[in-house]
Amino acid sequence: MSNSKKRLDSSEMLRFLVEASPGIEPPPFFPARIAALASERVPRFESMLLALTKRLLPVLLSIAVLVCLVSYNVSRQPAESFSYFEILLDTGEQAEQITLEEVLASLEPLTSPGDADAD
Amino acid sequence: MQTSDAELVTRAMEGDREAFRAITERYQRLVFSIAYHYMGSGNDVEDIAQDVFLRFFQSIHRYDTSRPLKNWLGKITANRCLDELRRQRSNPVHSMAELDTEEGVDINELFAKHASTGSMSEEESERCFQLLHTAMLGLSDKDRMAFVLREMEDLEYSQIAEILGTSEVAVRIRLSRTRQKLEGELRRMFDEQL
Repeated sequence: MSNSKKRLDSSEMLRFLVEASPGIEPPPFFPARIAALASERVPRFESMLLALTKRLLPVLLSIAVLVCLVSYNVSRQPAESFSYFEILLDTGEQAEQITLEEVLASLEPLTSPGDADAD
Repeated sequence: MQTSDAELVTRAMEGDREAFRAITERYQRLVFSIAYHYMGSGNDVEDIAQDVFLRFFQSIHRYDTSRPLKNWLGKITANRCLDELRRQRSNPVHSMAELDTEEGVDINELFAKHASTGSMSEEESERCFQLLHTAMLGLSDKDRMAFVLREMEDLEYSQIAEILGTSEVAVRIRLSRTRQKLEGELRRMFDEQL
């Protein structure tokens, strides 16, 4: 009996303390302050789009220039059978085909008999 | 006619300053009250409330407008309070509630006075809260939050469940145990004073 009385008391006490506890009043200009801060910090959709475009502009320009170069190159290739890629991919096959005799033969006019007499 | 939450949120998503103000005005009491009753003092409450609203507005595009705004803001507030409490625990300071208990508060006197006069001074009311908060210090973070949301903010079990990310049944069980713990703690404090 005594125990149930005591339990009831503590339950009542808890209820009393909850009800007696005060609330808190927000400061008067709080909503206006938050609105001002939020306006500064929360980006609008248009400005987000503008910022995104600005950020992506260099990338988009680079892609456009690359596309122009490649398409220009491709359009020229059949006419002149020349490609920038061939230069880049040149493995030096032509250089290997030139023999020593050919090189000496190309030098012959420089060492003509007339020149030797002069010495 | 009052503008709906969904309409205000849509306007706030477009950066409407007046919508920011209206949402804050509508829910500031809830946010302040949860933070105050959970933290146990008014010291950090304004900072927490400001942080809650700014976090909400900055991530407003992720808010699902089909869900009640009250629950969403309650959840942000609860999380912010839990973070703040963890931060304070890593850098402990004595709360006002702890200090006041050391001086001793006569619960019986307050209770008897309130029962006879039906009124209470601001100071006495504050003492009651400090006493309650001292008893709440022994609770786990989630028990404490559930108790504040139900008993002090008068939220529905379903709302508390959504805020705490649990089921309604779990909230009921948690609250039942929490009340028992608090009553036991008050009984202990009450017995010590006799």
